[in-house]
Amino acid sequence: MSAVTDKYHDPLMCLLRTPDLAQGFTPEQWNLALGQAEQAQLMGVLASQYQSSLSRLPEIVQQRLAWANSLVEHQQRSVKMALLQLFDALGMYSPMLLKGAAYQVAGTPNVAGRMMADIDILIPKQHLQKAEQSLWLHGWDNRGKTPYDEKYYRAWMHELPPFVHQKTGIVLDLHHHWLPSSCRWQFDINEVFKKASFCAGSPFLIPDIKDLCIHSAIHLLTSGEGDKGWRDLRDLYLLSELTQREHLLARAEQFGLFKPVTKVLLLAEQLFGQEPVSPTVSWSLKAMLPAHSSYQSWQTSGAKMRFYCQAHLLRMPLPLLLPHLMRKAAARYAKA
Amino acid sequence: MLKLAAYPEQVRAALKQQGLFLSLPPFVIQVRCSSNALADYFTRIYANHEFFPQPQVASFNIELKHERGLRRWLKPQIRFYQNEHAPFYSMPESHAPILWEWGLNYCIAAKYHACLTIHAAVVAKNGEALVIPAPPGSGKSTLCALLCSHGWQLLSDEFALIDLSSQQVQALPRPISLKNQSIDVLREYVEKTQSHGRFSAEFLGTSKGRVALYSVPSEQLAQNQQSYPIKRVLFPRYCQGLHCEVTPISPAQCLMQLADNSFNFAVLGQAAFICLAEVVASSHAYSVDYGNFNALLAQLDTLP
Repeated sequence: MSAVTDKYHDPLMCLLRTPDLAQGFTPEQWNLALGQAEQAQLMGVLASQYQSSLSRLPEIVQQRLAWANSLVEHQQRSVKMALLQLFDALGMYSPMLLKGAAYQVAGTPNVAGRMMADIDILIPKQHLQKAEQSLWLHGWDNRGKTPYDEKYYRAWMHELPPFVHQKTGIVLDLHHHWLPSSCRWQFDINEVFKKASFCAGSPFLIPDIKDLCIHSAIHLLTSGEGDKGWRDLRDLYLLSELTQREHLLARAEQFGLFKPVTKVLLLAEQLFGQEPVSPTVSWSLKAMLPAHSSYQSWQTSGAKMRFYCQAHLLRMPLPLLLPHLMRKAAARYAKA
Repeated sequence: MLKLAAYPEQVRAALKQQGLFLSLPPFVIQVRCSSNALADYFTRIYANHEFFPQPQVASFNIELKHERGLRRWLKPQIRFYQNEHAPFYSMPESHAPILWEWGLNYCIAAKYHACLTIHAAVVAKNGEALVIPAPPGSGKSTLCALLCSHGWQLLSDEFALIDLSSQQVQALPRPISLKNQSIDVLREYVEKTQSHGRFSAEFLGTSKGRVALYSVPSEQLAQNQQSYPIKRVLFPRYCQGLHCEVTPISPAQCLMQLADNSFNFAVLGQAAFICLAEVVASSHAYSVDYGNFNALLAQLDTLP
């Protein structure tokens, strides 16, 4: 067993790094690992990892991985169907897929078993209003937000209020940029459109592989959600292997994002690279731990809080952020 | 494996410590519970079920935990967790058994995708299954419990688990959850016939009113995991004062209604549709409005 992963405390990371160690797992370790995987949205990834050696695992493990597999297949089918409908609504506005949907259509190596919460699409800002109206006509609804939330999205964010399809319940985020308008980092998003291309069998634009990596990295930093951090860092690690490091960093430099991209790449390598370290070695890695009680400590909570605050400071400058957070807190208090 | 009824002390200790590893094929369920209410229920109502004395890999990891704070001492509340996720509001501690039953239903409905799962009661006679899909409140459980006292065997009062390749329905017999007046109807019947059916305590003031769980006598249970071909599908509606009106419905309509009552029809996609198409092609479907159980029972024996 590798000295850096303690399979008694961290059975999930142990399985992700060294799948063969599954053979020595006790029932207690399996229960813990599967529980952690569910919280981290990595059940599907485990299922695809053991697809060819499933029969060597305990029967109930096989059962649970097969259930996860059914869900992943269902989701990939639904996304495929939704994309067909979305092209009807958005086809004339040169739509580009981002994140999970882009990985699925491009067939990148991180897609096997990957679960996603919504579909992300990017279109040039000048088409935004028409695209929104077209989505309404095609059954995608984003009404019902409070006036403040409307303003939050439309004035400061890089996306419209999320759309929900009336029949299928699928959620769509329509972006005009990768970064909020109020974000401290900015770059010309047209550069991304210039390098994007089509994949066989899909009418949607797909970003260049280097841009997929950069988006994956800065999305993690600006979202402030570390609970699914292992999934996102695994994405970045597997995507970055498809490109040359110096080209990737040169592209990040061009966008003025050299430092943040290098930082997230380092985290991805620490977890999934050749010389892995313990997933609790630093504050930044602690913020990425799954939301499972086995990882709970005051340090994890602190790390997650710090990560959340940093992300919000990136999204909005302090004079904008403070009133926003107070408003959110008041709304939550009023609701409770 | 050990029988629950024979080891009440172990059951009680396991529930409070590493968990009781309950065998309910095709599932192994890890249950922990900080209250004794569940241990007593298990040894009485799940008396003939078995558990593993050693830890196992579990299909579901369930925990019923006391809510913290002052209420812990004044008016103890208990909450259901499946892998640390709490899908329901908390309930009074004494309601732990129904929280367990409803929680397990939630787990099966949300997670089990090896079969097509349909919200239905299922009983069998002469090796042929009768599936009774229905929304809550239509008298499905009462009908199911009464049928079991009249020569039918219980497969499940909650789930039709249909195998995608054989289209047969699998038995997963568990206690039947009876509500309000149904409890009195059944209690009266069980006393009159001196059957060995057992009732749990009654739970008052739940979101479904008064609830009791009824454990069907073992001779009325289908063998766990045994499969039966589906011969009839019945959509019942209880109408007080009415005798019994049976209307045949078309295979297409039956398919749509089964799909509507399914938990994972969309998840399984095309395979589920093909399976249901086979089911409706080889079975008869009826919609039944009834107010008199004996009339329905007599009709059932004559229907193809």
